[in-house]
Amino acid sequence: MIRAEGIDAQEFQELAQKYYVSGVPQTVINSGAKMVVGAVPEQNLLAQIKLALAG
Amino acid sequence: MEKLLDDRVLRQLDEAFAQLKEPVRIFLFTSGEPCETCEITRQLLNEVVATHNQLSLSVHNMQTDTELALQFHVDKAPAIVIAARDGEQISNLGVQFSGVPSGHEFATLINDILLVSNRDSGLSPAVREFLKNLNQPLLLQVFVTPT
Repeated sequence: MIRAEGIDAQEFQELAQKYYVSGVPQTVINSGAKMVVGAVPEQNLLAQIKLALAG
Repeated sequence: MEKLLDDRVLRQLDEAFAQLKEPVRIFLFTSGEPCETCEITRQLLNEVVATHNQLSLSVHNMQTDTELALQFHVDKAPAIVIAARDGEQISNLGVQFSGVPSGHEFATLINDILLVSNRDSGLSPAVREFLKNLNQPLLLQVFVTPT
Protein backbone atom coordinates (compact mmCIF):
# COMPACT_ATOMS: atom_id res chain seq x y z
CA MET A 1 0.00 0.00 0.00
CA ILE A 2 3.06 2.23 0.34
CA ARG A 3 5.18 2.54 -2.75
CA ALA A 4 8.24 4.66 -3.46
CA GLU A 5 9.45 5.03 -7.03
CA GLY A 6 12.61 6.85 -8.06
CA ILE A 7 12.16 8.21 -11.59
CA ASP A 8 14.80 9.51 -13.98
CA ALA A 9 13.31 12.84 -15.09
CA GLN A 10 15.35 12.90 -18.29
CA GLU A 11 14.20 9.50 -19.42
CA PHE A 12 10.56 10.11 -18.52
CA GLN A 13 10.30 13.75 -19.56
CA GLU A 14 6.56 13.75 -20.23
CA LEU A 15 5.83 12.60 -16.71
CA ALA A 16 8.32 15.09 -15.26
CA GLN A 17 6.66 17.87 -17.25
CA LYS A 18 3.23 16.80 -16.07
CA TYR A 19 4.36 17.64 -12.52
CA TYR A 20 6.36 20.71 -13.56
CA VAL A 21 9.57 19.14 -12.28
CA SER A 22 12.34 21.72 -12.41
CA GLY A 23 14.46 21.22 -9.31
CA VAL A 24 15.46 17.74 -8.25
CA PRO A 25 14.84 15.79 -6.25
CA GLN A 26 11.15 16.47 -6.49
CA THR A 27 8.82 14.18 -4.55
CA VAL A 28 5.30 13.89 -5.91
CA ILE A 29 2.89 12.51 -3.32
CA ASN A 30 -0.16 10.56 -4.51
CA SER A 31 -0.02 11.78 -8.11
CA GLY A 32 0.17 15.46 -7.26
CA ALA A 33 -1.78 15.82 -4.01
CA LYS A 34 1.35 17.45 -2.60
CA MET A 35 4.86 18.03 -3.92
CA VAL A 36 8.13 18.49 -2.11
CA VAL A 37 11.13 20.03 -3.84
CA GLY A 38 14.58 19.22 -2.55
CA ALA A 39 15.96 16.70 -0.09
CA VAL A 40 14.11 17.35 3.16
CA PRO A 41 14.29 15.84 6.62
CA GLU A 42 12.04 12.89 7.41
CA GLN A 43 9.70 14.99 9.56
CA ASN A 44 9.12 17.53 6.78
CA LEU A 45 8.22 14.78 4.36
CA LEU A 46 5.89 13.27 6.92
CA ALA A 47 4.11 16.61 7.37
CA GLN A 48 3.54 16.88 3.61
CA ILE A 49 2.34 13.28 3.45
CA LYS A 50 -0.21 14.00 6.17
CA LEU A 51 -1.43 17.06 4.26
CA ALA A 52 -1.64 15.08 1.05
CA LEU A 53 -3.70 12.35 2.68
CA ALA A 54 -6.00 14.78 4.46
CA GLY A 55 -6.89 16.95 1.46
CA MET B 1 28.23 -4.98 -24.51
CA GLU B 2 31.42 -4.13 -22.67
CA LYS B 3 31.48 -4.41 -18.90
CA LEU B 4 29.94 -1.35 -17.29
CA LEU B 5 31.47 -1.64 -13.81
CA ASP B 6 35.23 -1.28 -13.46
CA ASP B 7 37.37 -3.02 -10.84
CA ARG B 8 37.32 -0.03 -8.51
CA VAL B 9 33.52 -0.03 -8.40
CA LEU B 10 33.42 -3.82 -8.02
CA ARG B 11 35.72 -3.54 -4.98
CA GLN B 12 33.45 -0.87 -3.50
CA LEU B 13 30.47 -3.13 -4.06
CA ASP B 14 32.22 -6.01 -2.31
CA GLU B 15 32.76 -3.71 0.65
CA ALA B 16 29.19 -2.40 0.67
CA PHE B 17 27.67 -5.85 0.26
CA ALA B 18 29.80 -7.40 2.99
CA GLN B 19 26.97 -6.13 5.25
CA LEU B 20 24.19 -7.84 3.27
CA LYS B 21 21.82 -9.62 5.63
CA GLU B 22 18.86 -11.25 3.91
CA PRO B 23 18.40 -12.23 0.24
CA VAL B 24 17.21 -9.67 -2.28
CA ARG B 25 15.51 -10.40 -5.59
CA ILE B 26 15.69 -7.66 -8.20
CA PHE B 27 13.00 -7.63 -10.87
CA LEU B 28 13.74 -5.79 -14.09
CA PHE B 29 10.87 -4.99 -16.41
CA THR B 30 11.84 -4.25 -19.98
CA SER B 31 9.79 -3.14 -22.95
CA GLY B 32 8.88 -5.44 -25.82
CA GLU B 33 9.95 -2.78 -28.28
CA PRO B 34 13.65 -2.07 -28.89
CA CYS B 35 14.77 -0.34 -25.70
CA GLU B 36 18.41 0.59 -25.40
CA THR B 37 18.07 1.84 -21.83
CA CYS B 38 16.55 -1.54 -20.93
CA GLU B 39 19.59 -3.34 -22.31
CA ILE B 40 22.01 -1.08 -20.45
CA THR B 41 20.03 -1.56 -17.24
CA ARG B 42 19.97 -5.32 -17.71
CA GLN B 43 23.75 -5.41 -18.18
CA LEU B 44 24.29 -3.18 -15.15
CA LEU B 45 22.04 -5.26 -12.91
CA ASN B 46 23.65 -8.51 -14.11
CA GLU B 47 27.04 -7.18 -13.07
CA VAL B 48 25.79 -5.94 -9.69
CA VAL B 49 23.96 -9.16 -8.87
CA ALA B 50 27.00 -11.25 -9.81
CA THR B 51 28.98 -9.75 -6.93
CA HIS B 52 27.03 -11.47 -4.14
CA ASN B 53 25.16 -14.74 -3.79
CA GLN B 54 22.34 -13.18 -1.77
CA LEU B 55 21.37 -11.17 -4.85
CA SER B 56 19.35 -12.51 -7.76
CA LEU B 57 17.87 -10.96 -10.88
CA SER B 58 14.67 -11.77 -12.72
CA VAL B 59 13.99 -10.08 -16.08
CA HIS B 60 10.48 -9.67 -17.48
CA ASN B 61 8.89 -8.14 -20.53
CA MET B 62 6.18 -5.81 -19.25
CA GLN B 63 4.16 -6.36 -22.42
CA THR B 64 3.97 -10.14 -22.04
CA ASP B 65 4.27 -10.53 -18.24
CA THR B 66 1.32 -8.23 -17.78
CA GLU B 67 0.07 -9.80 -14.56
CA LEU B 68 3.41 -9.48 -12.86
CA ALA B 69 3.83 -5.91 -14.13
CA LEU B 70 0.40 -5.06 -12.73
CA GLN B 71 1.23 -6.70 -9.42
CA PHE B 72 4.35 -4.55 -9.10
CA HIS B 73 2.60 -1.44 -10.45
CA VAL B 74 5.04 -1.22 -13.34
CA ASP B 75 3.94 1.01 -16.20
CA LYS B 76 7.24 2.18 -17.67
CA ALA B 77 10.47 0.56 -18.82
CA PRO B 78 13.09 0.00 -17.69
CA ALA B 79 11.62 -0.45 -14.21
CA ILE B 80 13.53 -2.00 -11.34
CA VAL B 81 11.74 -3.50 -8.36
CA ILE B 82 13.91 -4.36 -5.36
CA ALA B 83 12.11 -7.08 -3.44
CA ALA B 84 12.80 -9.22 -0.41
CA ARG B 85 13.34 -12.93 -0.89
CA ASP B 86 12.93 -15.42 1.94
CA GLY B 87 13.45 -18.89 0.53
CA GLU B 88 10.97 -19.12 -2.33
CA GLN B 89 8.81 -16.32 -0.97
CA ILE B 90 9.05 -12.89 -2.60
CA SER B 91 7.81 -9.83 -0.71
CA ASN B 92 7.27 -6.60 -2.59
CA LEU B 93 8.25 -3.80 -0.19
CA GLY B 94 7.29 -1.05 -2.63
CA VAL B 95 10.83 -0.03 -3.56
CA GLN B 96 11.23 0.78 -7.26
CA PHE B 97 13.35 2.75 -9.66
CA SER B 98 12.39 3.68 -13.22
CA GLY B 99 15.13 4.46 -15.73
CA VAL B 100 18.82 3.62 -15.84
CA PRO B 101 20.31 3.94 -12.34
CA SER B 102 23.44 5.75 -13.50
CA GLY B 103 25.54 8.50 -11.95
CA HIS B 104 24.24 9.48 -8.51
CA GLU B 105 21.42 6.99 -8.81
CA PHE B 106 23.81 4.04 -8.83
CA ALA B 107 24.49 4.76 -5.14
CA THR B 108 20.73 4.94 -4.63
CA LEU B 109 20.35 1.50 -6.21
CA ILE B 110 23.01 0.04 -3.92
CA ASN B 111 21.48 1.71 -0.85
CA ASP B 112 18.05 0.36 -1.82
CA ILE B 113 19.50 -3.14 -2.03
CA LEU B 114 21.04 -2.75 1.42
CA LEU B 115 17.80 -1.31 2.79
CA VAL B 116 15.73 -4.24 1.54
CA SER B 117 18.38 -6.70 2.66
CA ASN B 118 18.25 -5.28 6.18
CA ARG B 119 14.45 -5.63 6.14
CA ASP B 120 14.35 -2.33 8.03
CA SER B 121 13.39 1.15 6.87
CA GLY B 122 15.70 2.95 9.27
CA LEU B 123 12.93 5.48 9.90
CA SER B 124 12.25 7.22 13.22
CA PRO B 125 9.72 5.62 15.60
CA ALA B 126 7.14 8.41 15.02
CA VAL B 127 7.20 7.95 11.26
CA ARG B 128 7.07 4.16 11.59
CA GLU B 129 4.02 4.45 13.84
CA PHE B 130 2.25 6.73 11.39
CA LEU B 131 2.95 4.49 8.42
CA LYS B 132 1.97 1.35 10.31
CA ASN B 133 -1.49 2.83 11.00
CA LEU B 134 -1.96 4.07 7.46
CA ASN B 135 -5.08 2.71 5.80
CA GLN B 136 -4.85 4.55 2.50
CA PRO B 137 -2.47 4.00 -0.42
CA LEU B 138 0.61 6.20 -0.43
CA LEU B 139 2.65 6.75 -3.56
CA LEU B 140 5.89 8.69 -3.41
CA GLN B 141 7.43 9.40 -6.80
CA VAL B 142 10.84 11.01 -6.54
CA PHE B 143 12.07 12.62 -9.73
CA VAL B 144 15.85 12.70 -10.05
CA THR B 145 18.48 13.47 -12.62
CA PRO B 146 21.34 10.95 -12.47
CA THR B 147 23.91 13.29 -14.03
